[in-house]
Amino acid sequence: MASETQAHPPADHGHDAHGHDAHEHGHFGPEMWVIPEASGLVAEVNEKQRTTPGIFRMVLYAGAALTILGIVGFVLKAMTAGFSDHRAWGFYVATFAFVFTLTASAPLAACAFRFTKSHWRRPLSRIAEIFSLVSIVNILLFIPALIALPDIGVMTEGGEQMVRRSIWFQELVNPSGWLLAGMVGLSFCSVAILWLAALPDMAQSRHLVTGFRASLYGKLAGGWYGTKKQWQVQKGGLAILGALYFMMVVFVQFLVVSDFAMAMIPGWKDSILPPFYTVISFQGGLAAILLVAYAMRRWGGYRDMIGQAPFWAASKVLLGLTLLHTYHLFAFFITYWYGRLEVEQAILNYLMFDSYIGIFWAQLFFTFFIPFPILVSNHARREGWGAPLAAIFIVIGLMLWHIRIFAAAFAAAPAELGGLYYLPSNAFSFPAMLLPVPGATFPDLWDIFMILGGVGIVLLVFRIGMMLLPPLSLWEMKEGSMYQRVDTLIRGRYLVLTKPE
Amino acid sequence: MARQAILGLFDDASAAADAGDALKSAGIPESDYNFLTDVPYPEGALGEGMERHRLWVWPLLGGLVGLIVSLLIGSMSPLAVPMTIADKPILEMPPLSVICYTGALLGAILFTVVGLVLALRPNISNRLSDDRISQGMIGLLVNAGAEQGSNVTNILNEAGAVDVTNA
Repeated sequence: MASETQAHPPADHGHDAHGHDAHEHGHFGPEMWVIPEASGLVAEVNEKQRTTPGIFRMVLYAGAALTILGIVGFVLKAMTAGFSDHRAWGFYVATFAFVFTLTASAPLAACAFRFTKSHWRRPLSRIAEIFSLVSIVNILLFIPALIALPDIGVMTEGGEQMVRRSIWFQELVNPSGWLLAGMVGLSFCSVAILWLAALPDMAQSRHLVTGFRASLYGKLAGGWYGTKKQWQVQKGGLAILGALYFMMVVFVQFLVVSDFAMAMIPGWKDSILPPFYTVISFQGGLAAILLVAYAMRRWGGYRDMIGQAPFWAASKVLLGLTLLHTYHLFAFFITYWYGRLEVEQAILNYLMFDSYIGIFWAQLFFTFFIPFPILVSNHARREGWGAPLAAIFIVIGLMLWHIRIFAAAFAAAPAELGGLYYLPSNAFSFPAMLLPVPGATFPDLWDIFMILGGVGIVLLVFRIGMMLLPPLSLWEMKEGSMYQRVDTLIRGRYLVLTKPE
Repeated sequence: MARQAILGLFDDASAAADAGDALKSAGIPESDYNFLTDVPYPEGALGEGMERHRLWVWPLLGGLVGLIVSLLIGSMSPLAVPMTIADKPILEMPPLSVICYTGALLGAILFTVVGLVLALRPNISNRLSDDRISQGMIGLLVNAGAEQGSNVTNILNEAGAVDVTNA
């Protein structure tokens, strides 16, 4: 339970020492800063985990049902279309990329805000880290996408080598090995971050849990005693792994968007796309974290542990990322529009103004025109609901973005000479072009099943993660209680912080 | 010489810090006692010395190993299957750098995790703990010689320990 003296002003808070009527919380409501009582936090969070609210049970069942639907869709798609024509797998790849985008950057939020030593991130850290478990699913989802990816080079019957443009000059077959290695490395790193961050919490919860969780915590955190050296190593390890994760996630995003989007549209050469994709991923990751945090606060019984401050602070970051997203979109557009090469016009028409014009404008509304006014509203930000509401639109918009980019890219050209492939001698002089501009591709029933399955598997795995691990970073919350209190300054009550480093 | 573990539990951090000072004054070396806490206290808050670790060596070592391995693999495959594209050299650094970056990062991550597993092993010989530490109490675990046992227990009690247990 939140400490009465810490989390909320005392009963006579309307009067200060001089008998003046005080503004109770300055300009802030009593739920802005919630600082839980440290001593009972471990037991209380474990108790909350045991008493699962109905909405979380619903998430579990819905996730399981949608996952089954996705598996059915995948199997039927594989049986009916096979893997020989990559164009059949555009919506699957879009689904994978969407799940990857949202979940790969989420653990980075925990690392980044820990680097900056911000206090408001404490209730969000574990939520961000639990997304690491979904990264294991990313590996599984990635394998069929790799199988569907056309080879970089093929031999004609006449013995000539046909190649397609890609970042892999030296691989004749598709670069599955290196791509998969990158994805596995990323997942391994994120799971290591989760383990290291949850280590003290699992050790402290050991005596409160039974069954599988007790056995799991014993195995994963059996050697944790909380000595000075262990805390130092944990802190150093989180910093190092966080830095490596940042280096890795940006790189794997570069590989995914280069190989599964840019290289699949003849003539598409765009230096803005990889950083654009990274910005989108950061935006999506933060949006996903805020949605989960809001659900936990609003319906999960964590209102006395998660205040409005995390949403207030994170909404400013989300606003920045939303503006960056739109800036990159404009930069992509204006470069091609100004260049006016035939190939550039073809790509603009294909992705924005002709074939996928409907989905382009819908996406723009969901990722900018709707969330922007919500996020600039100080009232919406401060009350705590603004950022999660904007996040809903952003997540929908990003789904549309992935369909527009990845599904469109996979449908753009056949894997044949004049399509994706050109002879080596003229591969870099012959202007690969998307002419005539193909029409939009629409999902069939199995594609829709797979898209729903992609959403479902994230819900399912995340919910299982929340059941297995402490859903809040207990040691960080307790550390926060040590460094923060709400106190009176003149006539208002404000947050007082200790900054030991 | 037989040694015993003595765990003093404190509900006040200042009292625990005082107990640490008293142990130091009584001639117990810092390596023989450890504060067990449920949160990371700021450096020096309990009067303890700096704990150093060399975790940073692991990612550097792993990165180097990964770089060398990926450089070898990445350069051998195009030499084994040469593919000339628009008069570009068979072996060139820009595409190779993609492979080297992947390899170096994979090595660094792998070695860091190995280093973490090794470095996180508890540096206490007698592994005595108490569940109340998870509720905010501070444990002071002393690895004392047989002749120091009663003296250490007295020091912990005098400093305000709410409970002292031996193993």
